[in-house]
Amino acid sequence: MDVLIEIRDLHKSFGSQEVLKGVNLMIERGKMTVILGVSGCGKSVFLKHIIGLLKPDAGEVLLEGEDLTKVKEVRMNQILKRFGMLFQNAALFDSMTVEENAAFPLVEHSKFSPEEIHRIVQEKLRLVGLPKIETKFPSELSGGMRKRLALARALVMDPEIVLYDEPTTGLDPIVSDVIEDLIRETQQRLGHTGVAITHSLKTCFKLADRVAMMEDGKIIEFTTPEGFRASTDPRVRQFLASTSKGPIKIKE
Amino acid sequence: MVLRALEEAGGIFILFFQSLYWLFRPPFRGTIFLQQMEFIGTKSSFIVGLTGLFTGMVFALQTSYALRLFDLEYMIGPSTVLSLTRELGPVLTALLVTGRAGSAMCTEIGTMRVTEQVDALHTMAVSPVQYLVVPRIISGVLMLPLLAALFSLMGALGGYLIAVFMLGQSPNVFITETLYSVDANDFYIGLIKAAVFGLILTLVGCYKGYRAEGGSAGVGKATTEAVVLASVTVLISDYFLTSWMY
Ligand SMILES: Nc1ncnc2c1ncn2[C@@H]1O[C@H](COP(=O)(O)OP(=O)(O)O)[C@@H](O)[C@H]1O
Ligand SMILES: [Mg+2]
Repeated sequence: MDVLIEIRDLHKSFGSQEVLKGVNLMIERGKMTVILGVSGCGKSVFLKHIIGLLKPDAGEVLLEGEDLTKVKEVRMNQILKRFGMLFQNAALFDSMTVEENAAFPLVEHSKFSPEEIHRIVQEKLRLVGLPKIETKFPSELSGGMRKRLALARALVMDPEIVLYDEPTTGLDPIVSDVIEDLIRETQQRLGHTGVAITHSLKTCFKLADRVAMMEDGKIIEFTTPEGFRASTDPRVRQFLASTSKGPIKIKE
Repeated sequence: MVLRALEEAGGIFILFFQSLYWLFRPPFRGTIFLQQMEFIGTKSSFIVGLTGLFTGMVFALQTSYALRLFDLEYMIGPSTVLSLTRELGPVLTALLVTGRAGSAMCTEIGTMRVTEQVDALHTMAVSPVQYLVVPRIISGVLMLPLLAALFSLMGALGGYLIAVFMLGQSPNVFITETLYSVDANDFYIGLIKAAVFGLILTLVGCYKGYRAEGGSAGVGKATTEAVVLASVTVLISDYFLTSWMY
């Protein structure tokens, strides 16, 4: 197994609420790992630890042996250039046009000329299937188009690792399917390592090479999609059956 | 309460030192600086000038009543201009710019925070402090003295108009008496104060926006708090600056 990122015993509390209770996970190079779990179980909090948006109370995030929870900000900014992230609500810059949004990482970090940046951005916008709308603003786009644009921005630096936070939540089933295809296709074509979190079984099975299930602040199952379907863990069975009756309790 | 206030003061100081740290690191983003200078400086100049003019007029009129009792009407010019350069100019300018630009800053950064745009900056290896906070603070520190000078200048003009055209003072008296009693030092003190206020109001606006949470309601709350906190801090620090610099 070619491990790119190893997460060891990650703990995080907000005030008295313990969200992560010792998360362990191996992210394999070039594969798409999907973390499945009910809403509010701590998936987003976990993802934010991988990319340094949150600092853990205890535990390590090892990228090729380097602990990302301890590196200094300047070093982290070098490391972050290897990452791309797709946010749940796209997190587009609403003061910038479509083209400026997609070009932002290149403008900040590359030494390309404006013409080259324009060419790369066009290529990425074509890759995600965005028609000629470079001069529009994000507020003028539909939900699906915003996701596509966010994906183009996440991919524009050709990152080695792409994180996806709920890539299909809030989209209608058909657009969801299109976005899932798009994510899977771009990931296989470009060969990056992917980590996606979702509460949707369909999204999970369409994307995953590996499935991890998070419940009550821990990873309770980590296997292949086939292995996941065949799991005997009662919490996994409950999730697969999509029923409220079972060991998983929703805290209201 | 006390704990929260301490935590907040600590947070603001940390943001200040982070801004200092990022100020001296590349990349330097010229266009963003210019945009902020324009927003804080150029676009505030009309309202600042107008307020200055009327403040000077009111001040001259008010003091003339008192000064007339003692036959000291020649002091209208000096008292108006001194108050303007040392106190009214910096303080009122800071309060105006807090309402106009400090609040807008807080709303903008707060909205970016709650819609994860600040997080997005971080993941794209761009320091949000360097990208969002530093240009605003620098613009505040550079622009507030200019705006305060404009305020005082317009206020002096207002005082002159009242003294000469309403109270019948000779232009000569107003100008010579004013130049005699006001020296460059008074002017510098006002500028230093204005720069400090510029730091305070941008730092507080950015801090409150940076820490906003809880959707649009949270951003609204943060903006209100930013305006109140910045105004109060400006007034309190004015007291200390005045007592130190005499
Ligand atoms: N910044 C924060 N401050 C306090 N609590 C938080 C914060 N972020 C997340 N939480 C809490 O952590 C829990 C897990 O949240 P999250 O990871 O967003 O869930 P999900 O699995 O749906 O992505 C929730 O109960 C949430 O209220
Ligand atoms: Mg989430």
